[in-house]
Amino acid sequence: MADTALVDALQVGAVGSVIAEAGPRPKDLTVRLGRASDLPAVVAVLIGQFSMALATVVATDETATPDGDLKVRYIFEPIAPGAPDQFVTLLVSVDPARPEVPSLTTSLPAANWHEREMQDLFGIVPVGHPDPRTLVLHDGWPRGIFPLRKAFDGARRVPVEPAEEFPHMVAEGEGVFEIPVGPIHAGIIEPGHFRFTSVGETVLHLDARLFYTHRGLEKRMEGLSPLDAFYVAERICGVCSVAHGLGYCEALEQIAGVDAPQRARLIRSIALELERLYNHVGDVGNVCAGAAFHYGTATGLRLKERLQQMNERIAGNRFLRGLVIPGGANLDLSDDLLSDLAATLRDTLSGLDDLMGRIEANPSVVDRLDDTGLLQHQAAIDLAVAGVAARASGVDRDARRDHPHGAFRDSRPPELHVVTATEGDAMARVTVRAEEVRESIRLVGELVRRLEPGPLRGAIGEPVPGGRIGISAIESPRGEAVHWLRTDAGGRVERYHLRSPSYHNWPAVALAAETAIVPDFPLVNKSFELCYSCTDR
Amino acid sequence: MMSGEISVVIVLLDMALLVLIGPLVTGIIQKIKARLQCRQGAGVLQPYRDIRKLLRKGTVQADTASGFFRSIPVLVLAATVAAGALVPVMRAAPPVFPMGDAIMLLGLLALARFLTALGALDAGGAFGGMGASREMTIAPLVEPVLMMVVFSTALAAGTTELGALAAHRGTSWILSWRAADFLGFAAMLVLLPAETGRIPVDNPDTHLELTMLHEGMLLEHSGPGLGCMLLASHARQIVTLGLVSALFFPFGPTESAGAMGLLLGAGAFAVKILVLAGFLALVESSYAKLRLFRVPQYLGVGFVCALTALALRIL
Repeated sequence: MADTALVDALQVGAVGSVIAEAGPRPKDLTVRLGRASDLPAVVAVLIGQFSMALATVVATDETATPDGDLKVRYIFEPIAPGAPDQFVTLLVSVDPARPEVPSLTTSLPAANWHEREMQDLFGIVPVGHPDPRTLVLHDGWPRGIFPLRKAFDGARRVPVEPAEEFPHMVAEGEGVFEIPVGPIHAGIIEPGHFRFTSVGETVLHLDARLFYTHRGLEKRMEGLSPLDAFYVAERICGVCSVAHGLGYCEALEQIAGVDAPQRARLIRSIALELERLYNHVGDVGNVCAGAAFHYGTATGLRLKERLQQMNERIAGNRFLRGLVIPGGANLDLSDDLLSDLAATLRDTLSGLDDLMGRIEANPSVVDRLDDTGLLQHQAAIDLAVAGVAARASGVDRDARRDHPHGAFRDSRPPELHVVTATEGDAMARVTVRAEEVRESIRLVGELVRRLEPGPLRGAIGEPVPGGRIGISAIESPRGEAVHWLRTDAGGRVERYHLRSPSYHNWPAVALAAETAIVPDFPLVNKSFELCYSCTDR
Repeated sequence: MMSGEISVVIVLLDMALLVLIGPLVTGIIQKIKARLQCRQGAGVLQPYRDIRKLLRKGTVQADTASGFFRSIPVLVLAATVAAGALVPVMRAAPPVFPMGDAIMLLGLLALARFLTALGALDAGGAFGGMGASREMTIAPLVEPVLMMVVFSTALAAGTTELGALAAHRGTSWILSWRAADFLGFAAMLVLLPAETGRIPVDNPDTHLELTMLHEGMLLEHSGPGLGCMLLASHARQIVTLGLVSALFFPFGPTESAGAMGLLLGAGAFAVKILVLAGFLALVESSYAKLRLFRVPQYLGVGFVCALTALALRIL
């Protein structure tokens, strides 16, 4: 068994004990490290020898349990093509009296934000982190109060402390300018502060500060019934409602040991593709706005609007909320709706073909997109970039294939053509999106053909089993989102963590911006089109 | 009234007309653009509504701005309107008294641009400074070429006064366009989007501060001040279009300024402006904005055309 080889290799790298067991899912592996200081060596084996990438990092406060410690789980996934659907969890126990773990960021750049977040919310210090500034908590939050510790009451107001100006990471020198942008922007977008340092129009460095919309949702879900907490998970982000709702449901269903019926799985996948469609089509239009190609902007908006009106006819709202629920699907697709859907998708396809034809045939647009905002293949791997951004830089990853969910968990899953490109520029991200729209439309057709009458829901009885972990990875419109859910002894939510694709992709935007000039940044940003809410939670 | 010369009343009427219909031209361009993009679009009177709204609002000013900042909008508007006095709208003849010529007109427009950039720098905002520095990078590439186009036409007429120039040529002159005229007009078409702050050089509709040129310089203005700046932008646009029509399509009453003649002149002017507005809307809907560093290459095409036109005229 391959796992034995993996555990043996980890054993070689470690000084302390390495105890491996299956879990959280039967095919997964959880490795307890006796010494936290073994982490860097063990991680080097995972990412080097076994070509794995960081999926997520989850810290938990278990001081109230018999273990009496804080725990950090570093969860990895294999990224080699054809790798099995597996998560490898490295579990480290942290002493609450001296909460320190060695930082992995210098060898594993993808861990950067995870470690800073852990430091902010749990007070677990990543020793040796090259950039230990606060990430999630903003100016005025009192020092020494860690909101995700169990001792902190989420309903409590904290006093605002006087704060110094946040130390932005900027370049200095003669002729170097700082350009502060945001957090409030002119368009209808979410808040984020971007601090450029530039010489003339050339970007030297971009320091992005997010988490202005940090609402403490993970804290809010703790202690809720998992069935109620679903509604919070679904509302983490508007344009990823289906993906996040589905990810939470799949994690919960693992814990409850319930599988959604086949018709529900198909409807879930159809909903996920519809969400991808309206996002991708709108994003192609948004890129045109970044290049000031008005025809493309207007066409993208028009096509997106039609798709969102279709969503409203299906689910009663434009974001398809309430369609996916724990145990299955809440709404059925009638034959009338399906023929309406088929017509809408036909129009969308011809509209998109026309739009892409005009973009590709227009040298002024192509010139703006070509070579703009380059993301190198290796950088995409190092930062564990997800979704369209990764695939446009030649990383062949798609959670629908790599971590099957929805209809892809069938014994005979629908065929999926994963679109990739190698250029890694804005043009590649646009063409990958357009190809994925075509693939999604084809996929919806295939999923609809597979629909057969049947039940929509499996019952999840309360209380759900306690002390269990569920993990799922969903290919949201922006890429792989990893959900991690654990119930307490009473079957309530003990800890929920979402690692959204945007969380891993934001640092890539900053990197890509450094290959561009200042007035091209909106274009670079729009070619990634990331969420703030998903990242901030 | 002296034969061949036009009274001061008509000059003032011209000027007022230009300022008043400036926003309408913008509204029409916006409407054509919307239709070309399969949108309904706002009504053509929208720019007037925007200005009326702004004139009623209060002013918010950056702490870093000096006292000079508040007078910027008025000065910019004044310079632009003064430039408008030099454009023949209903006339094709010089005024009774010496007022100024095309060079004066370009100088006033340059002054307005300079004041706008100064105001943007004065407010101390990052976007204003960025917009000003970009505008000042582009302006030296646009203004000399405009000057060359004016000279290439003025050489043929022997005067730089636009009314006299129009009168000298007469309406039938368009039938005898020479290579230099075609080249000069081509240069003008290349320069028009740059001078009016439109795609492919600038994007007047954007909210993306990092991409802005002209709009970036207006960000720190608010209330009536912003209203003046917008009115000045509209006026600048129609003055530029008026310059093109005076240089290349002179038409209007010369001998007598009778009511019929004036109306005919105004009607002809409206048609010329509408055609040029349609051209701008078409360009804006067909192309994306150029990469900032490509703008000099684009303007270079205009430079070559203008230089050749001038050379042909002299040789």
